[in-house]
Amino acid sequence: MMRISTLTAFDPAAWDATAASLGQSAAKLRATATELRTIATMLPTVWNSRATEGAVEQLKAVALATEGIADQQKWAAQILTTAARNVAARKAEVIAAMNVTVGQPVLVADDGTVTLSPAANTLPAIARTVYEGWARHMTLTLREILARADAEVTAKDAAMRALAAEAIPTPTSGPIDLDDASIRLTIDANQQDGYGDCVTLSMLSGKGRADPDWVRRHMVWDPATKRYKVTVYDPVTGKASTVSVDPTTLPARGAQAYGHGQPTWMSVMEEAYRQQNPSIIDGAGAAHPDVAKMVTGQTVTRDAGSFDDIRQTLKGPPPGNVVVGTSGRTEDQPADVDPTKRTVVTATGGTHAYSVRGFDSAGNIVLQNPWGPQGGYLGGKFYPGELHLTEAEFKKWFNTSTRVPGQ
Amino acid sequence: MSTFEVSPGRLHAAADETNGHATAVAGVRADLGRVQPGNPQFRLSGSYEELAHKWQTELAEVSREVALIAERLHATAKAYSTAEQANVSNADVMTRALGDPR
Repeated sequence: MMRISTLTAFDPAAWDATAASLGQSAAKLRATATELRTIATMLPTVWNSRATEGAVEQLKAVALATEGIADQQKWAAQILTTAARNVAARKAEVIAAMNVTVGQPVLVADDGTVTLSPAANTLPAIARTVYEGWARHMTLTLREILARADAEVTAKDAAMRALAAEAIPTPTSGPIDLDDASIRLTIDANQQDGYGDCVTLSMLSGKGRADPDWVRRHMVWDPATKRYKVTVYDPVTGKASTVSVDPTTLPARGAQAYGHGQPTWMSVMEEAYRQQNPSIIDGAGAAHPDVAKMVTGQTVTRDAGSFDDIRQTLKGPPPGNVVVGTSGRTEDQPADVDPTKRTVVTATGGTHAYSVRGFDSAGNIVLQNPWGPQGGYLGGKFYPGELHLTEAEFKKWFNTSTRVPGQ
Repeated sequence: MSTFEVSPGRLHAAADETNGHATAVAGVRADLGRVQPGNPQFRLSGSYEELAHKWQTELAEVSREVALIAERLHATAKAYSTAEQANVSNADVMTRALGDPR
């Protein structure tokens, strides 16, 4: 968790300077690629032989490779610029909030917790009560700012790691790199964006994390058509069918990589599900009961589920995955719940699904919000991209799990 | 265009231009080495360093390949120029100068 002292020490200059440098580098490389293509076009006019074609193809190939690097640099620059702007905004917010506490009978801990100072002991009881309420309010304010800053740095790192693994395809350049690391890093950097398909994306995240080969089996590049053949199951019968997806025409509002919005393998699979079952992806799909069958074709267990049950499914063998939802909650979160533990339930009772990443060293369950590593805003409140909850908290605020055994 | 359907002079020029791009790419690669380290608590992160290293490796490869293409274009132009003077056949020039055209 971010500390106040860390956030107030933030200087965006280095990230901004690197982003600017990468932008220039990308522009130079793109210009070079264009020039190489121009030479390739001109070459047959000065050298007309059987061997010319080979040189032309070589020039085009290096031009494409150069453009690929330029794209990555442009996206990295976007990620850094976004992160620099957002973290600097959080820094300004935390400084403004700290200024409000100056001269007040309170102490501010580095983790954002605000308590009454010894000076408050001299105040009348009613004034102390007012200050105690204000201290709780300031604690929530500061911790929400810190949680947001923390999520933004986490999101930047996740997106950079995904870029480094070449998990992000250039849509027109051919098949996506689907090695184990690329699949998992894409999951870490994915954000849900415009569709209400948190259950589907959480299910995909879990399957990919537990069994990357499952992704490779269910999403196959067809070089003849330059499309992906995605295996989709009937959400009721579980019968498999194949859906063809053109990676160059993916909807802009679908799943995408944080920071630069490029499509990923998850975007391709989501689009296959949308084509086959539009109401699940682009409708009231969040609580659709048959998403697990549509994605996996498997019969799954859905009940409250203890931490032991969830651990058992994750462990296997073979390793499985678990999706949890706030639809099963036994009580609503209090208004002053710590912002790092906020779970999504809308004002009208709409619920949200999360994928189980695993358990932390303290035994808390770790949940991935499909909105993305940066989390998100709803009704004026920040909701984190990752949650760490005790079993007691899980039982109150989730109390339902869809457990999909490994295959 | 000569009887060899080649313009050695223009091919040399194309080779020079191609080689210039190999140098330009090498320059971009060198610039990547000058990364801003940033505040230690908000460093660009290991993932960025990994990325920069990957780009440097890939750009070195691109630069090398472009330079190689330029070298082959120069060799071809030179071979045609020589062959034109010696009245050697077009096919012979290709065999001698290019080997496997890939």
